[in-house]
Amino acid sequence: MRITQVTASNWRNFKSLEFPIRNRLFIVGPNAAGKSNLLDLFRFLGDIAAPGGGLAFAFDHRGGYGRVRSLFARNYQRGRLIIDVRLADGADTWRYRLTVRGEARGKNRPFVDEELVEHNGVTLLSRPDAQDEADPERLTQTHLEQIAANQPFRVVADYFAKVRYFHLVPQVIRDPTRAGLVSNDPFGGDFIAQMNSVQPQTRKAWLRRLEQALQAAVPEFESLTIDIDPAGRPHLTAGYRNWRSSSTKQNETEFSDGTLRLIGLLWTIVSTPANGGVLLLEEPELSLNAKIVKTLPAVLATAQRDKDLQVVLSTHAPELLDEEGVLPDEVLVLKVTNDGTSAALLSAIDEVAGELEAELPTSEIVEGLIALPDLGGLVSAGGTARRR
Amino acid sequence: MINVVVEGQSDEQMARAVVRAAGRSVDRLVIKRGKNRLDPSIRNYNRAAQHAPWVVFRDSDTQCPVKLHARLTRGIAPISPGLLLRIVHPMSEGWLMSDRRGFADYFKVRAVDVPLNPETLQNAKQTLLELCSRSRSRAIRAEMVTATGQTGPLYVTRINEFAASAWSVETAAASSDSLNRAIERIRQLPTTGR
Repeated sequence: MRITQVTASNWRNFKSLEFPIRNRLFIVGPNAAGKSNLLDLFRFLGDIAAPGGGLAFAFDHRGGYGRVRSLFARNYQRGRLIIDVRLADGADTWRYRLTVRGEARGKNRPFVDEELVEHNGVTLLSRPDAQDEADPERLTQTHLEQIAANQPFRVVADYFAKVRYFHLVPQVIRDPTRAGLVSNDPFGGDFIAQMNSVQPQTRKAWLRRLEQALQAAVPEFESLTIDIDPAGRPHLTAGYRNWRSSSTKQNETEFSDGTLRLIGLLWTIVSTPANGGVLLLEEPELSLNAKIVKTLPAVLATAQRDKDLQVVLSTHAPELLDEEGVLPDEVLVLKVTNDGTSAALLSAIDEVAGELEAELPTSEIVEGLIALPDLGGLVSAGGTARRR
Repeated sequence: MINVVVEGQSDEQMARAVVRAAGRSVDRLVIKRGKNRLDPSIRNYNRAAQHAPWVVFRDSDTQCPVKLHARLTRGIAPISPGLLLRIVHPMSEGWLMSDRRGFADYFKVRAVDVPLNPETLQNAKQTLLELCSRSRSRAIRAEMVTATGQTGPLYVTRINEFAASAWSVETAAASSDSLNRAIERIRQLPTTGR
């Protein structure tokens, strides 16, 4: 199963969105263009479909319907939030369409305005139906989130539920007070505990793979293990070669930001379920040196080779885009306009067709599209009032 | 609209001003971070220039401009009418100093100290730095040059600010032949690549 096309209206700072998606999507754009918001669209579907999730949860989690719906919504699509996703599973095609409106009065609770599922063009579900008319309260839930109702399209629900988001923050991983506060924290609060909870045999095999990768990427790196301290908390321990015969041991509080980010990224990739899903990565290049960043597309491609895995990532790194295997129809360019942010695949932008044909570096073409005209104001931020 | 390629960050506003002086406007501007990155991609810009005009500014670094141009375009044929490879002789700092009055006013140096014929300078940037190290303005001295005579921390910002706001391209062109010809050639560029 994989997502082939995403269409949306009134999603956060996007008035409308429509783009096809292959196995990888690199989202680029200036700061505050909405890269994270776009990743969040996939997380939103995941939050509805995942166990313990649901429509109400997905909105609550984001501060309510008013926060999620775009500012443009008042005058567009009658204020509805619309998400329309097409998927393919071999020769089978699927479509899941969800339209949400706010409750007219009261707490502005989100209500299902329309929910549609198609399989190979045949409609399996079309809401609101007669039961919904009889009991409008039913419209506070999607059928996607209900096991009893989603049986005919369980594969779609399962695929959405497998969306995973990765944005590990080294400081969060290191902070012992965060451990155990949130489970499945995308920022890494319970990252080491999660690593430790993997069945020992598997964990050992995965750590071994990380070890080999880190030996290549981090100078003098030798070994990686998980050790439990006297209080029962798991810690990462790395061994580094030095002039003595035994290696120097360090735990995660002493790791560099780059090493921790790399461990997080590699673990995420290694632990991806064999049946794939959607992996969302927020700026995977952070804290990593340019040479490692250059190899990331290949690392991801290798992970995808044997799995049904789609990777959607946001990036500011030219090194990542300039990898020769990254194609123009895998790069989604966000541009801020006075009518919300627009998104288009690089391959579909006419004004750069000549540059693409001339095989100029992708990062350069993208830079030309999204560059800000003048950063003089930024440079002078540090000056005193008199000198500015 | 013209697309522009320059070697380094400090060339940006100079290039914009030159294109403006030729009565054209800049669409895309690419900063290549060094000639080692720029030179191999000239053939790609030549291909892109089939669709829209591209101007590539490349410092001669005191090499003979004619020979350098020939070397850089060797093996690239045909050269698209939309591509203009302009050799900046000897480097963009020389073009900037060619407006002696404007340069002296902005950088608070004596106009008579600004070289009369920057095209003959062996190292125009070095000359510019030495000039600025003798500036009457303490801020200019501190920002443009380090105590040891190397490029100062706000060199790029200052050079760009000068090129954008105080540099007279026309005055500079009157005393720099290579700048004058560059403007002329940009003026003649086709509006589309073909």
